[in-house]
Amino acid sequence: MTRSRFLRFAVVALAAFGLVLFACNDDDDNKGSGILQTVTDRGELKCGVKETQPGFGFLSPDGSRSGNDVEFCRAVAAAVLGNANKVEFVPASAQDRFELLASGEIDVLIRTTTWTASRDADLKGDFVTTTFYDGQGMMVSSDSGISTLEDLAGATICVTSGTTTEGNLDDQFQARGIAYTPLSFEDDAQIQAAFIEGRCDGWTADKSNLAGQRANFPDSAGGSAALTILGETLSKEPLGPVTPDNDSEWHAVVQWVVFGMIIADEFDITSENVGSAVSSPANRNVARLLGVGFDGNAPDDFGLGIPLDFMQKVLAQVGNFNEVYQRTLTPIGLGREGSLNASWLKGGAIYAPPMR
Amino acid sequence: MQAQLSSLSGPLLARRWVQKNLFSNRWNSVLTVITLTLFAVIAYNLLRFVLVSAEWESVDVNRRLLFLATYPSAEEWRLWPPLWLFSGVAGLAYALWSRVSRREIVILGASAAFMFLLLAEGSNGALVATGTLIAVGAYAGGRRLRETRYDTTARRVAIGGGVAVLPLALILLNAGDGVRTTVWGGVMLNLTLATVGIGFGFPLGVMLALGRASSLPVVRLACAGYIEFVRAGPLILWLAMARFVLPDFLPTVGGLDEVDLVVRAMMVMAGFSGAYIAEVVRGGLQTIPRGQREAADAMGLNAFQTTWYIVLPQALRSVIPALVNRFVSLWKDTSLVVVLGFVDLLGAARAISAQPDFVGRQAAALLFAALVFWTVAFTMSRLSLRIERHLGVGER
Repeated sequence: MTRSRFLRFAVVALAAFGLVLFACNDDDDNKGSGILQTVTDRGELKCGVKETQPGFGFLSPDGSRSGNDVEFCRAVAAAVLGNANKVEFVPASAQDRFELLASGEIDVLIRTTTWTASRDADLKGDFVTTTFYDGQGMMVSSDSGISTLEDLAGATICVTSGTTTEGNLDDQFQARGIAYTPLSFEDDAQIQAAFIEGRCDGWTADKSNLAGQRANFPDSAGGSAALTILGETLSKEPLGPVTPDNDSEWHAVVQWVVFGMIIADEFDITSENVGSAVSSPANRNVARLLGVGFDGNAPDDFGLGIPLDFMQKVLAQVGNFNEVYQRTLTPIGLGREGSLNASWLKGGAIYAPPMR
Repeated sequence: MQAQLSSLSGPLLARRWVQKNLFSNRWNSVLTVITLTLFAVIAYNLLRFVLVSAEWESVDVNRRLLFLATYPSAEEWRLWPPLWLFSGVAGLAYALWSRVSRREIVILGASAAFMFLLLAEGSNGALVATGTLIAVGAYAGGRRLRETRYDTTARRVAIGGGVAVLPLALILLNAGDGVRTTVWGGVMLNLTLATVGIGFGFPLGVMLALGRASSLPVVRLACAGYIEFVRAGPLILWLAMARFVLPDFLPTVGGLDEVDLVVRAMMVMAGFSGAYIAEVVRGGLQTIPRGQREAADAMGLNAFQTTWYIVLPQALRSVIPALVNRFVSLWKDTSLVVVLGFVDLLGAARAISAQPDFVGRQAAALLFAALVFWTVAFTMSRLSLRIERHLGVGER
């Protein structure tokens, strides 16, 4: 008698408790405002980055983060929050980066991510623009006598798993009818070890990555001279920031921060001369970029929903596209001159729509 | 045979031993030669790597990264008081519960010197020295109090201090503006997670074990269900769930669904190890003969008293090796938090290979990380041996 009463009570109590929890969970669903509002309210940008990519994202001995990707995170924070240091960096792995983006764990993903149709449509990422034109290359031992991809027939080719590189390797080699054995690894360091052990004949990755890996190949294994990057390019790998799907307001903000940095490079406005450019803009376009009035007119409002002078903050605290590039990528041997990553004014592909 | 051998002199004894144990027949001789060759080759390569080709510079420059990773330099002061408290407790406990032999002085001295060289960097030297002094002082004080009328008080202070280390660390980390948990990293993160995992997982495990042995069907079913459910999944799955799925299940009341990622990791660590510890403890409970409970009943002890004073002490004593095995395993499992996006000791060691000066060179850093993991695991296992000997496990 007492036992059954106790049981009935327990069941009712549990059900009530469950209902309360359920009811509470309901107001989870209508997250009305967009990411821009969320970031502003939070006072901090959550940026998905990598910490194992030389030149793009790595940890310094003092624990701070550096690299090209990191600089763009800081630029977005400077534009939206007025302070480039208001960034919470979230390490994103090759496998979980789109999950992080979709679940709202990060506001923007800037982690050497290649723009592809399936990622754009299927994985629910909105690609902003290309900040670095990369391409898949092949690196072999200098003394192997291999000079073209065809020489690699029957060879073992090492590749990082879960990246576009892996699938592209297969496509290219199948199209050319070259038989090969793929060997995938979690990260570059493991490939390097395998390469030194002689387990790989070829090492395929984006050329940016290969350049860094080659420049720092251990001296005990022959140094950089022991490796040759073949001339052939296996793929187009445009890298750039990604924002979560269906938030065009936020997408536009990130996009125009990057475009603004490219335009500033075209106008030769750097972190050093941005102050004088603000006080006396050279022309109407410079004034528009910096969000200041020109010839007695009020500053233009593009309707981005962030302070009109956002580019002043970006340029003063981070710098323009070229400054960031020279600071992070030139040191690892990825020269800008003569590559696709030069400005369109100098024969490259870095081009931004006009800011007006 | 034994008597025969002991009557022989040194060199001859060694020869007999070698003959008997390594070259007793043709097959054993072949095995011995192969094993020794293999061992020599590996030892030679390892030594050559450690002494010649390893670039210890990458570890030396990155000591801070390995220990604290992304933890901000300006907030390091928060970590020293708990560390000092720990040093004091360690010194005091050692003085009260055991006697330092000469061999142990050598080992302790060497490890203290190693830790000092590792942590001392610039102004840290004085802070590390303070910690060392506190440990030595506490040891000296403990020796003096031992077996006096203050002995019990001193032991209580040591236990209380040990329990207080983690709360003190957590309070200091959150005091004032606090340090965001997302920047916790390095060895510090591994140690915190392991401590919380053990500190909360152990009581949870004991309760689950008692619950599973309970005579109340609801309690028994709930405990058994929890244990079987949690054990059915790999830890890395629970961690991934904690990151991506848990927020959708937790109630929004009191911001519970936005709970820190570190706290979620701690919950998973404690909950997961609790399930395993429960089964270990259950094994211990089953070694207690029925007569013990009946005797306790006859003495007029109630159920709680029987469990607390009669059953648990005996049950736990008999499963110390298996418990410590779980703790050691949990300590190493803390490096799985990489799936939550933390830079722990292993993550920091791997990140070194992306620094401009050390691209692709992570062997030395990984070896160092292994050494740190080993040191802590080995300390735990030695401590457990000491406790076992102290309690006479396997002897009575």
